[in-house]
Amino acid sequence: MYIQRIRVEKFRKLVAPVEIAGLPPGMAVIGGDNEEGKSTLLQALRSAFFDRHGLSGQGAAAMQPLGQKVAPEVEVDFHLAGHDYRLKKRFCHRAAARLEGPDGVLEDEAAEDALQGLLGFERPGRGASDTLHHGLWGLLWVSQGTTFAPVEPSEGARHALGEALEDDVGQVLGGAIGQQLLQLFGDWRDRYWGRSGRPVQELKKAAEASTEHGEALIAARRRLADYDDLLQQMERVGVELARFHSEERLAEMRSRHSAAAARAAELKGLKEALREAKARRETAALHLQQAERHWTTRQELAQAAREARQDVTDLTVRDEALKATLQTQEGALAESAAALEQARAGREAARREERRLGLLIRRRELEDEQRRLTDQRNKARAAREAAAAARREAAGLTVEADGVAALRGAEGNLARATDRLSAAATEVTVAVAVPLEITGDAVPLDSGYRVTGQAELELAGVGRIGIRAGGTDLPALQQALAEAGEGRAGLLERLGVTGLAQAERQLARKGELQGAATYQESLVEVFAPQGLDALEERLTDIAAGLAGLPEGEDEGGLEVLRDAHHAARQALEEQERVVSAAEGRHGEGRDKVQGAREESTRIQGRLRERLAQAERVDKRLVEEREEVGDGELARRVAEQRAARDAADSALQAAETAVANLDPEEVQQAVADAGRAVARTEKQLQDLETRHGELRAALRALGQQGLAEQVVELERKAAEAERRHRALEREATAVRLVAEALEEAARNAREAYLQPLLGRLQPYLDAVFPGARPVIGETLEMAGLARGHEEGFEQLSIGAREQLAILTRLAFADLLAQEGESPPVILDDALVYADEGRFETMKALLSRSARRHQVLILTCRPREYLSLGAEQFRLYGWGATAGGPPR
Amino acid sequence: MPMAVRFLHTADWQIGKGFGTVPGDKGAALRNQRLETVGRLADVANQQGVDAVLVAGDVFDAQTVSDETLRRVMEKLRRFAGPWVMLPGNHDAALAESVWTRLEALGARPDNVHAALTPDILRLPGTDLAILPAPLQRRHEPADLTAWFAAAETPPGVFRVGLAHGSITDFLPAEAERHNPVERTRAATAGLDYLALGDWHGTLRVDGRTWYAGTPETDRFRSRAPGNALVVELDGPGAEPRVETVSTTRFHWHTLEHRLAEAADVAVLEDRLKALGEPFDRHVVALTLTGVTGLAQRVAVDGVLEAWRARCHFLDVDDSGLATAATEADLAAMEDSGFVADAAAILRRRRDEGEAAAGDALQMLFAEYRRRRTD
Repeated sequence: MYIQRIRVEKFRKLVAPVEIAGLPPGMAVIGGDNEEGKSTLLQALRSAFFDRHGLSGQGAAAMQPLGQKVAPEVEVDFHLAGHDYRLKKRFCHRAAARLEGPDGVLEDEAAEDALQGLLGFERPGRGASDTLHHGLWGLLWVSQGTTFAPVEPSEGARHALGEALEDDVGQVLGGAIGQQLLQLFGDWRDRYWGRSGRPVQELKKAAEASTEHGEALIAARRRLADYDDLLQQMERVGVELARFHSEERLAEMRSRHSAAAARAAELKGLKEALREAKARRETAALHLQQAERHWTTRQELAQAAREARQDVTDLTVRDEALKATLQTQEGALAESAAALEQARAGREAARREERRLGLLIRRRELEDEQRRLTDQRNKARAAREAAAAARREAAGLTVEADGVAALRGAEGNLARATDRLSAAATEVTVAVAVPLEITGDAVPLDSGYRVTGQAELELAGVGRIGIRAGGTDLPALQQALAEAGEGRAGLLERLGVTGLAQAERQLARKGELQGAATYQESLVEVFAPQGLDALEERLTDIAAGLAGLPEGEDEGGLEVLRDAHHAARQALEEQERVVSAAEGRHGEGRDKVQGAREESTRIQGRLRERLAQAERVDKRLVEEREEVGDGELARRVAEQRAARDAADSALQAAETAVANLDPEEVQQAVADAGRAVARTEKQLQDLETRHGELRAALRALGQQGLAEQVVELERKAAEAERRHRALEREATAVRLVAEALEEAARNAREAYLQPLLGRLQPYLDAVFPGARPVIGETLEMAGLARGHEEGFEQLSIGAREQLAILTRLAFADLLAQEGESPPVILDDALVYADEGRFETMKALLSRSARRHQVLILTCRPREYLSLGAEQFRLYGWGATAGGPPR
Repeated sequence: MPMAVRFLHTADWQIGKGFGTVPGDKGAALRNQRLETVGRLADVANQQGVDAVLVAGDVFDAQTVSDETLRRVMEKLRRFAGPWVMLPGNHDAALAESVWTRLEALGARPDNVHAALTPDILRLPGTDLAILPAPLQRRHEPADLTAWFAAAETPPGVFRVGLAHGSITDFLPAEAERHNPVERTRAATAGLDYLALGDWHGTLRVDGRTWYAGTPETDRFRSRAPGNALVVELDGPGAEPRVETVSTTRFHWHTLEHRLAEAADVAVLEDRLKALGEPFDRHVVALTLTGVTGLAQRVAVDGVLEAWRARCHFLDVDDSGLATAATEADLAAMEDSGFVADAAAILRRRRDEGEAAAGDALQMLFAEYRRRRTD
């Protein structure tokens, strides 16, 4: 289909008639300046084709020029399916429609219906149509400012495309029923399943209800099971209680307890008897003990009487014998006393002789010592005096070794100072014949002088010669010499000598004197080692001792005296031994006498004591026997022993009786039986209590109608589960249907799109090399795939515009190939393309225009000159087409 | 000379019994009906002019039915003024604490209702009946509780009627429970005029004097001859009893198996359902479908089933054995449906691979497609 001519009058901006005629089947460029009415021309075309002539209201008013109540008119000549048509519509006033075609002329509604049948668009219910109603025209006619908008075919356009493409893809789209089923099962599935595949809404509620009822049923069954459990418990308790009563268990326990208690009572009696037997046995034992004690005491008393009498007899005999012995011993004692007296007299005579000789010897010895010590004293006195004289003379000499040594040093210093001065002095040799005199510091030498300072040599008759010594540091040498001389002089004065030689002689003499004194003093020590005073004191003592000693006769020398004295000492010692022997014998005799006397005294005392005791015992024995005789006492002992033996037997029998009953076992049996009774009573009580509790619990539970609750819940749970199962089965099936339909539809759409993609891809290769189109489920252009998918809105505005145009060209190419395509009309397109893309797009538009009509409305027609397409220009009245714009 | 005696023999009321396989209100209705049937029994007793009604155990389904249920049962009994003798069965054994003790504690038992809780001869006032009960005092008794009947002495001229709940030894089918044995010859050995038994839910004659009454209201699919009570008439002691079966059930339970192979089988199915008889709302039906249907036939079957679900009190359909396969006609019908046919092919493949839901899905798709084509 292509448009051949357009004429517009009183339509919006195009008030004056405008006509463009001679439009070719291919590409045509319609130029017009801004505000000249290009977009109005496109709108007029839409109104002519798609708005009913009887349109009123705002839709109709919008067609009128601003402020003018006129009747807009549009006239279009077009070629469709091998026939030419002329459509003419007048709006608002005396609105009319007219369609001229191969079937003749149709007016108004007939024209409208025929037109709709030819072009296949929809009509709005009321008001003006919009692009949604225009089907393919709406897709391929692009208004100014919308060329970069997404290409989203309306349902009508898709329908038209589907119809047009049927030859290519057959019935793959499933027609209206397919779409209905797709929609139906999709919506149906969404009612049951969420996007994540989980149940939602009704299905979810059904599942929850099923679970909820199931849980409630489980809980109710649990309560019922509890009831059954209680019932069983009660049955067991009942059986146990019945058994208790039928077996008379408690009575038996009590009977056993009574038997045990009886045995315990018997045991108690036996124990009492045992205790009494023990007491009787103890009493018998005490009585026997008492009788035996009486018997023993009597026997002991008789024995004591016998023993006392025997003692008296024995002591009397011994006293007599002792008296005879004492008499003999006293005679011997008197004899030993006389012998002792004699021996002591002989010893005294010997002691006096020995003493006299000893004193004589002492006197002789003292006299010899007195002589020796006197001699020593005299010698010591002489030596002490000689030593004192030598010490005094030495003290008169004042020189000392240190002073002499210092003087020797001073002499040396003076000699060295003199030598240094001499060495530094000027020697003046004089060999003149005239006397001469020299003054000043000059020392005469053998053949001249040595001048050590200033000197003046006066030569008689000749004159004076001044000499000045010029040695190095001569004044200092002179000063040292003077100081050395002063030092020596001082020492001589201190030592009191004239020179060093005198000093050394005096020092030697002083040494000799001190040596002599020391020698004499050592002699004093030899003669009087303890000192002279001690020696004098000893001599005084000796003199005193001699004065106390008797003068002896000349009885020989000291040795003779000593021999005599020795003999006298031996005689004395012999006398001492004699006395000692006599004293021993006398003492021994005296001791015996003394012992005999003491023994005699003791025996006599003992005799008196035992005699008195024998009398007392005899008396007591007589008295006691008078009271109870010995025979009676013996009888009593025998009697008590028999009684004790009887008690022993009785005790043993009682112990055997108690032991035979096993007291521990009896007590244990009583305790066990008591506990058994208590336990049994407690068990019975517990059972009865439990029975009562169970009965109450069961009755309470029974009243609740648990069985009916379970039945009711089973019913509800079964219903809920059945409902859920049915719904789930339906939902699963619905989901399967929906998935299968969607999968099949997707496959069909892909098959459907294949021809479109086959036509679009070459265009894309020219403008977007390497890109593939992304077409959505409703045939909308969703974007481009260039390595990754880019959504349409993510593309630049220029790319969007180019992609949108190319998509429309592909649609139109496809439609043209299948039969008829509406013209592609682009109003002010490609305004965002760069120069390169613009040129490419122009070439593609031109290529596409070989298959169908392409009308380009532009304010820059010159830019399309290179295509060689026919160009038209909008003008006012009289404007027409053909040839280049003027 | 004793007068003839007539009594109604019933058992296994199991009041409070639930019906887990019948969900919702329909299950509740079945449960409630058991109570209503007690009223029906009272009416039968009045109509038949019986001297007494003997209930051979399992009056209640559980010991834990509510007090209200106990009272409601007692209220139903008031419709027959004659004596009722209730025997504890295994479901309502005379335990130390039981529905019977609760009834006493509630004071809800009418004077004409006798609970035979102990094995003692019960003389019913105004009749020549001596009831020899064998009440269960536990759920399960290993011994034959009717053994004492033989030694029980009754005055001459009275009717000795035994009342027991259990299984006749070596008589009942294999599926019967083996608890609580009753000697098969008990009526003869104990000199009974009649032995009224409970526990088996179908009406069953053991011998001329020994009968199971069965439950008066059918409660399961597999019972044999349920839903009756027995009117027993004895002309005199030792006389052969006359036993008449009276239907008392409201609901009738059926199990149907139907194989679908061709289109006509759907109509046959409907005929079989119709053959259950009016009124249809008293039928409880378990229908098992087997065979193979086409998609179109399956839609028709579903239509029939939906209609009968509404007619029957309860229709339970097990179609797990029924395969749905697309026929050539099914496929032809979708030939020009574009991707819808492709979707059907996908579902067929998944069904053939063993995905159970894919069969439903295919059927569903076909039904919707067909509906739209028809529209």
